[in-house]
Amino acid sequence: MPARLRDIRRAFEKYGGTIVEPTSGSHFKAVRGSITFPLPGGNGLRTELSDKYIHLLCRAFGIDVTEFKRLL
Amino acid sequence: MHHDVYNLWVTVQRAPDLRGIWLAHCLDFDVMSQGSTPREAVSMVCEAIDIVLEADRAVGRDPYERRAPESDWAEMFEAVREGEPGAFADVIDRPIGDEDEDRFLVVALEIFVRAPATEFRTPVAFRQSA
Repeated sequence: MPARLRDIRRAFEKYGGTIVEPTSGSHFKAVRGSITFPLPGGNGLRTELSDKYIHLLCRAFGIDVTEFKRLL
Repeated sequence: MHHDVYNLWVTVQRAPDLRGIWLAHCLDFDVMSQGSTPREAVSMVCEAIDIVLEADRAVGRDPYERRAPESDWAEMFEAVREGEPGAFADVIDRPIGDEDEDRFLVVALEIFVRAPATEFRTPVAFRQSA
């Protein structure tokens, strides 16, 4: 299931990460430790992201995707 | 002038769970973005790649460490083997058929990183239909 960026931010913050708003362009940045992962945010925090995207985000940060999706 | 050159593979497909949205996935760096057309999705993933390159450069990390899993590469190479090759604009801008027809697009992307701007080129693309 897709999820809104707002909900992804809330869940990601529970893993100690931060979502940084764009300073240029339309991508937010998910940051945890030394890893940065871009998130498209053309509609701001209301942007809907595909389930495929959530899998990539979790893979980038070594997060269990099933547990992550429980937080959405 | 010194510049870094990256040759990357990008797959483009419809989002299975968002109507009217296309996903562009750069397999080399395992980074994705999305847009309302294939071209917009590719343009967006270029922006995402730029963010990855800048962030990894800042911490001395090799962006190729992000590489997507082999299953994603196998899917891409199948599309390249079986797909119809063409110039980027011909493949990416061709009218889109119904949801079952256009399964997969693959774009070979060349990136030239040099201050102050990153330049993206798309020499070839492939289109795979179901």
